[in-house]
Amino acid sequence: MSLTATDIHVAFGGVQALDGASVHVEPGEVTGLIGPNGAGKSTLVNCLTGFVAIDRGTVWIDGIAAEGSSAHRRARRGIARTFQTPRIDPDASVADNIAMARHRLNRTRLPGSVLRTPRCRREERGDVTAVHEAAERFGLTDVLQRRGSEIPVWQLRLVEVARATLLEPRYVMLDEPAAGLGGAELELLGSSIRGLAAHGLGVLLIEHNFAFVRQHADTVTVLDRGRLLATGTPQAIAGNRAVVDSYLGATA
Amino acid sequence: MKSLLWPTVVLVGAGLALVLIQSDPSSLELSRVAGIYALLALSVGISYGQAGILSLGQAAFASVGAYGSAIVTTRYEWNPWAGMVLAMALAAGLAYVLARLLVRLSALALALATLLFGELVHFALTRGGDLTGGYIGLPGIEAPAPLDSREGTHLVVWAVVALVVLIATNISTSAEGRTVRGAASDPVLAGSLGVAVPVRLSAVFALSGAVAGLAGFLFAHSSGYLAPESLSIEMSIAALAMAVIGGRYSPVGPVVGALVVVLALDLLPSEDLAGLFYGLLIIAAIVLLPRGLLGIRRSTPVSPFRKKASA
Repeated sequence: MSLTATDIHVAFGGVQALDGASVHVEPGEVTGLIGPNGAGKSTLVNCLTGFVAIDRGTVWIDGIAAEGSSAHRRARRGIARTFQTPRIDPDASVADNIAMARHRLNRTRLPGSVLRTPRCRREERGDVTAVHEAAERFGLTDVLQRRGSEIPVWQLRLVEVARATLLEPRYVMLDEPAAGLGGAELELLGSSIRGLAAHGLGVLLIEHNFAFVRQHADTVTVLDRGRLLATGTPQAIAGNRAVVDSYLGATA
Repeated sequence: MKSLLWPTVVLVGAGLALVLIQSDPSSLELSRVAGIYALLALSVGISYGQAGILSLGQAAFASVGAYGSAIVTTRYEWNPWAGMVLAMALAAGLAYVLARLLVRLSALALALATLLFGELVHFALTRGGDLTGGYIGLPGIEAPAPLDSREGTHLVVWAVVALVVLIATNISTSAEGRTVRGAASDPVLAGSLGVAVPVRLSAVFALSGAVAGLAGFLFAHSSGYLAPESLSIEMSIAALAMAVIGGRYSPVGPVVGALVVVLALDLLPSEDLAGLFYGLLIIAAIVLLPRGLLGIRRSTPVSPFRKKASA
């Protein structure tokens, strides 16, 4: 049981975005995905989640090749994600934005909603409870009634993580969730990420803040120019000569 | 039950109006026309306000339903109420297929596609030979009770309007409505959350088509005749104007828009001015009231999360 990408090749026009990249996400573990800008981290997440077609290579979801499975089907199979640039409906409330993720678990569709069947009412009550619980976990209770357009970007990142967890996924891909977060929020996010792994989720964490990755990741995969540069424990990566030279050098 | 408020207002209003105008055939005719327009405008509110599909083909869906029912009742002696079911099913089925094929287009291209669909329907009806009666159309369409009297028609049409207002309320306040609005606003995000965007949007468009088909049925069986021009593209544009003016996100906004426009048109000195009038109204609405007369923000009043947060 794992989410694995092996030897992924993707070209956008003449640009080889991924050139044999691989990553492995184990349930119950946090995998850090790091690398310089343009290394292909987000593209690799797009391949795992079905948003980008792969030229060569395979994504395995629990041992089954995901070839041809569309993004929404992969989400239904339990792969959640956030976006590097937060995606939010600016006109809808934060609560409604988060609640959209409940669609996967709910079975009521249009006919049941028009007739307001007992199941429809029951599921909508469940949505309210679930959204309030998620909001509490991520410190969003006070902004639930605000519009998506009214809250700052760093908080949108927490909205995205809260929304992704409401899918009740088995794997969750977080694309730079910590960008712009300050001390207290960073700590909240870090402990939430650990909490997800403790619940048995496989977490893939794209992050530039290596201290944050080092603190929370069990393993770290490093990409450079679309290729796998190194993979190992955070300590091993911090001491890896190639990684220090190509990426960490400036910060280490 | 908060969701019953607007349907009740519509029903009571229709009852009071009947007391006032019951001996006045021209007012009853105006009420019938306004009610059928209200249904078309509601169908726009459902497709455009909820699923984000700007349709210029609602009168064509009504026409398909109207002709479907008129043909089976006049040629094959179907019961008119079976014809009503057929009218809704035909329009809903066509709307679903059309949306499934086209919903990935950009908003503007989709709107143009619905306009072209209207032209196609018009073409098919005028060239339909004996089946559709060509340019002349179909006379002698049966008016089942209570559509056989002006008063009965008034009550049936407005009772249906009240029912559709209830349906629109239930959609806009439900979790499914939330999902559909989100899918229309950001299909990429919705996909990442496991929403089959084309299917969900098409289902709403099919419901909108069913409402239009029902409007077509009521029109055909209360008029007694049907021609290709009866439910024309001008009616589609009028229905869109009504929904935009009244407020497409509000479950009752399109009804208000229909009443305002039909009554205002009745006061216009010449029918030739109608096109100019719609144009001015749409521009005025977009500039002055982007969300319409009952201009609600898309999700605020319908969010079930409100009560709990303020408690």
